[in-house]
Amino acid sequence: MNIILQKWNEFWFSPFNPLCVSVFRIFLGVEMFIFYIANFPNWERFYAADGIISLTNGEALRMSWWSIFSHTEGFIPIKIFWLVGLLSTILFTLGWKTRLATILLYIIQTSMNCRDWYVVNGEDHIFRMLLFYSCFAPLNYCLSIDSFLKEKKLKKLGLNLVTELPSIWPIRAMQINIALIYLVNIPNKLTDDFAWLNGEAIYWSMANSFWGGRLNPLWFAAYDSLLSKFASYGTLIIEGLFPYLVWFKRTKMFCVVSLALLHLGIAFMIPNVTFFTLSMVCAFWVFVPPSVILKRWNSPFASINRIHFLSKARTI
Amino acid sequence: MRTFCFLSMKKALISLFIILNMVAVLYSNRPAFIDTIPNKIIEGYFSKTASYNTRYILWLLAEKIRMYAYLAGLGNHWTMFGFQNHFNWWYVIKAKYADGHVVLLPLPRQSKRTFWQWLLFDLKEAKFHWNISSETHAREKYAKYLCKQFKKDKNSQISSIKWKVYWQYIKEPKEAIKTKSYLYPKIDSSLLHNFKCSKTESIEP
Repeated sequence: MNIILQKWNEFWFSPFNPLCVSVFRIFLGVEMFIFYIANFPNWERFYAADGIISLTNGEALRMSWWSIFSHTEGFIPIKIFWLVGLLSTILFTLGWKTRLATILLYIIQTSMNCRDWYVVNGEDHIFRMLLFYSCFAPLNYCLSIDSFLKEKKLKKLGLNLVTELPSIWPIRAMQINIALIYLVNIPNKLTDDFAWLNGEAIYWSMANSFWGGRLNPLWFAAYDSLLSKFASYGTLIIEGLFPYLVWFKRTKMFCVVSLALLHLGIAFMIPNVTFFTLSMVCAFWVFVPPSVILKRWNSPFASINRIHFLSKARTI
Repeated sequence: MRTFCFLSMKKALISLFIILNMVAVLYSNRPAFIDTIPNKIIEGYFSKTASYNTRYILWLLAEKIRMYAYLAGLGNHWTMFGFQNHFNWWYVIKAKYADGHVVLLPLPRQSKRTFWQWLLFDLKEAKFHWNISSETHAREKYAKYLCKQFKKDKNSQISSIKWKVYWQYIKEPKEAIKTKSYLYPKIDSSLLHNFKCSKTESIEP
């Protein structure tokens, strides 16, 4: 029993270097900033009381109770929430008042999802999940204005910055959740559509105008669907191996890079899922060991960041 | 000693929170056959009343987990292109005005889009069409919304929304290569709604 508790403790509560989590914050913040810009023209149409929200009834109407938009109708214009969201993405990216920005973004994302679930897309789910865990994560530990100000304040007081590394549990929870998405997705793919078994799935995806495939579907049908088979089985292998091999040092980077490339390929080929697939790429940063970044870290960058922290991080 | 106890308590609470989140994700993504297992076990071992009570408690627990998963944003069921349609489909939504003229509404996915609309601003339109495709009441309410949005054209009040769905089958890969085209030429259509706009919807507020 003691061994189990010890392993549990090590797995969830060991200190970790949060450099990559900060990189994750920057990437996610930039993507969410663009997401808010993209939502601007349709914000009122989707979320205002006289917008298509009038579609909701039954379960959807019940769930809209959890949206802050429903409780502020009539006295806070709905566009204010868009503005708050956009400003929060800027604060989040810069790492200034990071915790507050994260909580605000989570509340607004939850409100969007609960207000009008007819327009909820994959990225809305991913953003919400990532923001939920981010509320507990040390996203501002480095590469942030928060950490810069903290260090400056301590220097003014004549105190040395004692870098106590944070506990890893929110990041572990995020990692497990991302891994689970792929773990459950593979059996679903294999049982839902025979095309994943015979290798024609990517051909059908490309030919389906609904997702707006950019490449000619005939390329994927040629030579007995050779390209389609390569892409379909490749997708299954990369997605299938990820939840198992991402936990091992030797295979971690191979899994992360190959899955990120797969998602970048999807973002290029299928424009209607670009935001979703890029949000997954942002999320993969939480798997990257800090040594990968530190190896490529140049001194000009270090000078504008927390040299003390980075030098300490190198020793971990 | 007190600090140690506090830390242990804190870790225990966080551990419970972690377990709750993992259960919520796993429950939301459980395979369909898992739902039948507890029922079979309960019916095999319990009396009728006990079986009813146990099932009720399990249902209540499942509902709480479902609700928590939904609110925390962990409740999505992930399939990611699990099933692909073998046909393309699209809506054509037109408005008919009191003087009899019919207009193709300038909506996303059926009208000319600018580069930025295509690249960025229409990001949710495909999913919106997908989500309302299976719900008649949602389409009817959207039609009602359109009655309000496009209430007048050429000084004529809107009278109805004509909503059609079109579909075109995709060829099997081998046939697509043989014929050098991946779509069958025939396009079918069906009238989904001929929604009458009431006066209250078309009159200025």
